[in-house]
Amino acid sequence: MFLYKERESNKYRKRIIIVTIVLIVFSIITLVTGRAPSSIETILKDTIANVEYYVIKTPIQYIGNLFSEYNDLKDVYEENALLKEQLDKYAREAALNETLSLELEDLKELTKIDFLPTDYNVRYTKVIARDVESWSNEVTIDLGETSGIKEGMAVISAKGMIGTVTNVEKISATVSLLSAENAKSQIPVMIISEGNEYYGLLNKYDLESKSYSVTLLSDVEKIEKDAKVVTSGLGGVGKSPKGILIGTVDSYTPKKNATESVCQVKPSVDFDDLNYVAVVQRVNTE
Amino acid sequence: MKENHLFKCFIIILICFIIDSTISFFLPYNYTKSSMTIVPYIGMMMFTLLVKSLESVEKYFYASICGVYYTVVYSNSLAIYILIYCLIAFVRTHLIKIESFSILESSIFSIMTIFACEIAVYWLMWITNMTSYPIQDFALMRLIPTLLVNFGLSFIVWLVHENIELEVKA
Repeated sequence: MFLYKERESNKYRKRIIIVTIVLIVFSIITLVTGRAPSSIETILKDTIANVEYYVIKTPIQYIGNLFSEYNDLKDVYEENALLKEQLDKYAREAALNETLSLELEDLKELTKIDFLPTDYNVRYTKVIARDVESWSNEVTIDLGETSGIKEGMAVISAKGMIGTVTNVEKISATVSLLSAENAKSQIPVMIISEGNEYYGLLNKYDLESKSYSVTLLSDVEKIEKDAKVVTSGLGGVGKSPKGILIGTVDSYTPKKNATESVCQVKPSVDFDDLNYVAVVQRVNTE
Repeated sequence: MKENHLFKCFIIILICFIIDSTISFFLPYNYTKSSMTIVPYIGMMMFTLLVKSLESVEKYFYASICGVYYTVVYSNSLAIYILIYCLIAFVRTHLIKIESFSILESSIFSIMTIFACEIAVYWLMWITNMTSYPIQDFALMRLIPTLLVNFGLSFIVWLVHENIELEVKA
């Protein structure tokens, strides 16, 4: 009996040692090779993120919102007056928008163009998780493959583009923010300055200047300050459509070689306030 | 019995990681690294206290499982946490042989562990070009606030651990 127990204990110890060695080797290999997470790891991560969000974080958020809504009640009267004023402007803008949309539809029919690079639908969603250690600029949203989300789609907040979808699972997706210092991909952008359009690539976010670095694709002598920077829609099928606001030009230093000319762009969004976002689904035939 | 204790330790650390994740979810976002960043390390502090109660082989097994779980679920960075947790288990077993910590000893050890962990991860991020966060900004905006907040939390962790230990012994 005693020998049996000892044998079992030895077996248990051996199993534990093997698992530990395997995990340590896995860790070293990952560190050396910089391996990307496997699908099992991503599924596990997203499942736990969803469970945590709906079981723990949502009830806490709900209670927190109740308190903030109670505090907001005090400002309702002033806000209401301001909103009424803006409502008149909104009605005027909506009528103009409708007229322009109709005109656009007529022009599309005349020229036999089905979709424009600016056509897109948005799917509203919320941020359910972010990395605890705060090093990577990634967030998880609760829309995934089942909602038609695909890699490369643009993600926006109320003030403009915040990032792109870099990994898609069944019910959730990972969004890499434009504030990442080490961007996973370059975003094709368009600068509208003094009636001219200049094309470039958004490379990364510069911590020092707190702005995006945009490399221009053509020789440009001057770009006016505060010129609007939007997506160019040249990323390809399923990527970001044309015309999503990214920011405004902060400074521009022309160089002899166009690819060395870098434009600093001030982000239009506030990255510190990202609870509700929307995924932009570009409308195209493919 | 041994397996039962190991399982309990896993459950405790799991709860601590969930608390860490929940705290950081409700802390203000700071993606542009322009303001203060606080990272809660309740899981790691509880780990430093629990790891001593396990047997030698189990300690490293426990450390590697905790490291894998934290890396896969919460950390998008490199898999250094497996090595960090194993290193904590080694230090706690072979270098600091005190059987059970007093509240102050526990807080000091926890803070030193978090300090080492933060520096190691920052260094790794720096050499792999994942960040260009200046060291003085890192120290003032992230390291010091994180250490101060976790120093406060370490007292609560120690008290919770003492209660858990009493329940296990009973």
